[in-house]
Amino acid sequence: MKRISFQASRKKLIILWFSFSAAVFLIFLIQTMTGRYATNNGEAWEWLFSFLTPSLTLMIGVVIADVMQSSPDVEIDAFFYKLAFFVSLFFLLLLFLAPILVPLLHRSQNKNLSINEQKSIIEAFKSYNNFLLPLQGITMVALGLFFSKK
Amino acid sequence: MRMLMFTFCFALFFHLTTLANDSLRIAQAFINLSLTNNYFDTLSTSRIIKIASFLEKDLSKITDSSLLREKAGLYNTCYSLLYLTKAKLLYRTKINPNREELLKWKKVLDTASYYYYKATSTDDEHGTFYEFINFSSKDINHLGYELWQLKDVFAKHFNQNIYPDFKRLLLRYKNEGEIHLDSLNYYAKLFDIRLRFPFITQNDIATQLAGGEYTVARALDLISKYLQLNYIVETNDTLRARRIYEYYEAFVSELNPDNDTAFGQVVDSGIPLGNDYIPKDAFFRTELNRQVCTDLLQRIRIKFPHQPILDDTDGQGFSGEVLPGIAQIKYYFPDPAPFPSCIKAVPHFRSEFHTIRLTNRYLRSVLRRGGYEDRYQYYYYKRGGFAITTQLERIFSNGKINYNKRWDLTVAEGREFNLYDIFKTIFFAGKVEFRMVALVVSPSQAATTSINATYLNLTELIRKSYPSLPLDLEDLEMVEKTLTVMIYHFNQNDAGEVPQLDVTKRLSVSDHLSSISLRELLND
Repeated sequence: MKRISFQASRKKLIILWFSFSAAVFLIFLIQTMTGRYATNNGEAWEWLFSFLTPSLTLMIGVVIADVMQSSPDVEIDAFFYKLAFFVSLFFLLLLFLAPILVPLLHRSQNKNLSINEQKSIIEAFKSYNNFLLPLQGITMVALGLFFSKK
Repeated sequence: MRMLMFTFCFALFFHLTTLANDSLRIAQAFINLSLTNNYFDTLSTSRIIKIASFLEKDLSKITDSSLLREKAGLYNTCYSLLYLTKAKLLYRTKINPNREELLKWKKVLDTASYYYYKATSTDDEHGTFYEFINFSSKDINHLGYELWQLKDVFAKHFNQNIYPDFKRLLLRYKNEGEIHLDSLNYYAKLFDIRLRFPFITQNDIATQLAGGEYTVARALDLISKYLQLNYIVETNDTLRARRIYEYYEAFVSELNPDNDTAFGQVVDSGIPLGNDYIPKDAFFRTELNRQVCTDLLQRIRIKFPHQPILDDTDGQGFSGEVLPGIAQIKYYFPDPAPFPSCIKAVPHFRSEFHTIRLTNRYLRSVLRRGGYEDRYQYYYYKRGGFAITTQLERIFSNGKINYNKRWDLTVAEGREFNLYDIFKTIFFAGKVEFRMVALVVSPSQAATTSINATYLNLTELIRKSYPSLPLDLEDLEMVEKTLTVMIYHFNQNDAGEVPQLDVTKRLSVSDHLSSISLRELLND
């Protein structure tokens, strides 16, 4: 059973999460500025934060607690790190693709529909949730396992 | 070496001589053919034949491809003139041509037209050579005019040639009940005659405008229209019957069955008609007279009693009382109307049209010119008169028509999916703007509410309407009337968003009507 440094692997996870979050945030920001979400700006941002906030607050919370306690580094089972890392990576990739795929999904949903039948882009985001919500649950469990193994 | 030099010099000399000869040939041919055409009536047939055959041989000798490219306009003009002369000769030498001979006439004139179009599509560099032979674009224009004139003469013969076949097909329907619209089309196509089937093709503008170099005679057009009306009745085609009363009215008005010798005014014809090609003869007096029209109307009334577009009685929206006989449900245009983006009233509107029928006919022709054929619907108006609304159409933000997607109110993006489209979809909302024009003809200006029209209001209004003017309104007198034009301009920020009425007043009624060629409605 291979063991790795907790602080080094936590750092890698935090970098992964913050870099992907920044990238998705930037795309959403550009889309908001170009008027992509029209009158649904608030709902679009709300959707994004509902996926980012839980994990980011968990990680920031652990970092703050560590700084407060200034506890020494420990070694943990590499499996839990790898699990958290790859599940996070997959989840973040899907989240990163959301602002690209959802408008296309919205377009294909409304193809050939009259104005009365069309669905708003928020509906398309909700359809995308079908993939993301279960994965978010798995990611949170994986992250929880990693941080609890300290 | 000396031998080689000699060969080279000889080749150069030969090339230069050929070049000079070819230029001279074209110039000579143009001058001679122009003169022959100008003095055609005074020259003898044998002389013209000699000139034409000599010049044809001469022109065929021109082989220098660079010269042909350089002087393509002049070269094609020469050939067009040559075939025009030949066509004129054929016309002069045959008094009673049969079908085969007429087809030959057509072939020769078509060849002349072919070279004429080639001449107009090339732009020669003009210089001293053209000044010397006095060739300019005016010559090409004059040639076009001459071709057009001869086509008109030929069209008369072509129409007369197929008239017996049209009569036969009409009698065949009357005696055997068989309608052969395809045969009408076959005979018309033989001579490339522009015969339309407006009643059965309806919106299919491509079909209506397809082909046809030669004008169709009024008589043939009327036989075709009579058979089209019967075709709709016989096939019980409810979709095509939406405007059958309008078509019938147009047909009768054009046929003018109460006059034995003259046809009536042309109603809303999108193509020119040969009025004098075939006079109103005994055939029309016996086979397409008032009685025949009355019988046809009766059959239309039995098959398609005048019905609104939506035949329901749910009592929602704008439906009104039940009126037996003419229209089962009365659909009214709301009074007061939902608040529009802009409104303008034209008092004393077209007082020369003293009945609603005439006013409607005028409005219909204007709408047709604006591209709304079969894209408008009718309503009663409670204060007297009637109302018309156009269907929702897609526009640009400046009010101009989005021709590519005019009637497509689905997603904003195109059907194709290229990289640019993908980029646009990711970063920009699919904004759509669309418009509905409402015309209310009433004794006084139509009133409006202070509540903005909603998209649902309009779709409901369009749903509960009549495809043509209700019959009981047609003969009502209405000399003093006001036309109220209301524009409903909606913005939809993205697919799935609720469309909002544009009340910014950035575009006036005049701006909107100018963009759809309906500006003349305000000119009263």
